[in-house]
Amino acid sequence: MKKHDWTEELSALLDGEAAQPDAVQRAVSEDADLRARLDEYQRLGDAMRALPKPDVHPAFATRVMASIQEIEAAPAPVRSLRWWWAAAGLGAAAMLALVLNQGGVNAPAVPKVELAENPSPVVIEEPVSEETAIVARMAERMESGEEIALYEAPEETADGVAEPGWLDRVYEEVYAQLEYYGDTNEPLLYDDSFIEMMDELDAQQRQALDLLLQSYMEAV
Amino acid sequence: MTAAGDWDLVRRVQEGDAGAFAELVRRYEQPVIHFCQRMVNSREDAEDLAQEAFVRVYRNIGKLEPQAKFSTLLFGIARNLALNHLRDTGRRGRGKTDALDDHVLAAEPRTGPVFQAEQSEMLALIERALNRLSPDHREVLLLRELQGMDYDGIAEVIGCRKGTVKSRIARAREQLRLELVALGGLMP
Repeated sequence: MKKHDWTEELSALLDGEAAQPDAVQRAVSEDADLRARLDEYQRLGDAMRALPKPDVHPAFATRVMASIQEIEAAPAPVRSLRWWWAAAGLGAAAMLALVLNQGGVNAPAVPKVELAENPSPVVIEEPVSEETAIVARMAERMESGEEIALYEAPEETADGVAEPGWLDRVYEEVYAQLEYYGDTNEPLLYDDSFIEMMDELDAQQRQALDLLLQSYMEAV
Repeated sequence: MTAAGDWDLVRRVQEGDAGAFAELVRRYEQPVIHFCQRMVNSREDAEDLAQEAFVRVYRNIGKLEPQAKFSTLLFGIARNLALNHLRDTGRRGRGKTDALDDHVLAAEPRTGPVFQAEQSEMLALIERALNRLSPDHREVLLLRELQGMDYDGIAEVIGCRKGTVKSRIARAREQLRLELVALGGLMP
């Protein structure tokens, strides 16, 4: 008969999180191997807590505050999302049709998005945002506790290893950003490089990115 | 200091008292740097990551609302930054190089009574064994053993269910034990 694996219960007992501590204690008292294992786990924990703690430089907090002041002194980007919500509304039907034609949400490959070689510059009166419409929508839903995931872009295509173009690079950044923050309860915080990258996208590029994200999103 | 005290400081920052944020930094600088250092195994990188974590909290301070604990928010950000760093530096899998391990070993004091030397050796082995764990295992053990977080707090930090934390910590402990056995620090 297979012996019961007590690893999880022993570990939880040590942390005061066992569901049935009396039962685990009884098993430990009746089994020398379990007692030895529990003792080893206890010693490992003691040893970890005895690891030397770093001496923090007295100026660390000052450095942090100086860094904050430096950021605050720089001109802050305006982050209104209204323009992109409107843009998303106008383009939604066409984008959805295009996504469906290209395989929909289960498509394993990166959808082909045709862009002009040199897209005409689009004059945008409204301030640019660090997010596109879909990124904003995903962020909002994540922050409300909904689980949303993106497919990881494939490293290889049918033709071999893909040379990442701008869209793949941007997608990877968005993917990394949302993947790390998507499963946590913390606010979605964008780093500077991400904000800069989004700010550099023109309207056509944003539309292409939204299309790509739409096709790679789960639970939407 | 209680979590309520932390949120009181946050509220003061929201009201324009930047000094209150410096107090928060001083309160958490050592545990956050320690956590990052054990995650990425670099003191210098750990300080940079900790600084970035504090800056991110500050930049979003207006959005923050009192949660269970301020520390879970802070460690959640630090944890994400550390994982990001490991990914970017290609060290997401099993830990660092043996050359760095040897540096850690060499840095441990070797003088003094025998029991101190043995303890020092054991700590060096623990460091090596920790660095051999996957980041998933390492982070839960660090949050539990170094930060003393309960399973609910760890679940919040890493964004998973409490049951997952429970099983992951158990697997991490067992893996750490096996790594120590492999390193000769424990009897098989």
